[in-house]
Amino acid sequence: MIWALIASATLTLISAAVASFSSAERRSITALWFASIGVGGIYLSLGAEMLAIVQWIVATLSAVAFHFFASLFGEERESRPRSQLLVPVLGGASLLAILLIGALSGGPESISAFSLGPIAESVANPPSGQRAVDLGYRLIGDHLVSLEILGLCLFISILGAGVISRPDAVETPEGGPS
Amino acid sequence: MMVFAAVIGALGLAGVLYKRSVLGVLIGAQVLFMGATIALVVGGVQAGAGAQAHLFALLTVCVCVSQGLAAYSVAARVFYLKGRIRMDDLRTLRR
Repeated sequence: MIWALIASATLTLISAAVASFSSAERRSITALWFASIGVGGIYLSLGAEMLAIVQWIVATLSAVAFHFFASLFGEERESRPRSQLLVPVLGGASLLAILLIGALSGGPESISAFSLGPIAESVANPPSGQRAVDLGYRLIGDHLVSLEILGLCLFISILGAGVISRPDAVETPEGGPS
Repeated sequence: MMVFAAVIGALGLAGVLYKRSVLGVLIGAQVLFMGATIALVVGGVQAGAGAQAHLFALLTVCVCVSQGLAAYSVAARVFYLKGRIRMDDLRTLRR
């Protein structure tokens, strides 16, 4: 099944490039959805079924929300001259260089970052203990505080979204808001 | 595969820097998060701690949703105030 992993990775790479540099927003949104589908395929190949399903659900909902976003607020085309591509390309290349230096600074073991050996072995023989029920027990056992903090973050995000996006109260001549 | 994750993350950062619209920056941030989650999962597989990595990747995906929600609401606020959404307009959320 290593071919499925490579196909998913190729789909993700091409779609991520289109999503990042396409001038049309709807094309970017569609490419982002394809990239997320590819990422889900990678997770599935690595034996992370639950993560793959979550990724697909989140990707589809995000794509729908972004299409609504583009429809409601108007689609804008990116029209930048080629000379302004320098900063984004330099930024991306810098991040890539930093990550590669970080991956290589771990000594001889860091060579595994560049090999497909452990990945291919994991694809051929998916490790046990990664089923959804095991992940659920770990989540509410070892990582309960992380889960609670995450829930609190999502709750505050929803509250903050409501507060930020509400219309301003209009002052009436009597002085009170209407 | 770690290199692949790094390339995806770099593409996301380049997208964030390249785009001018809020939606474009949001899409770039999603690609950046995608690279981070791939790195977590692949690193977990290589280190033999797959389940832990899957959990943290799951938490990262949830944080990504939270970030998208916050950006969406800020965009709605800016559209309400300015009638359009450009990154250059994100100076203030007051009138």
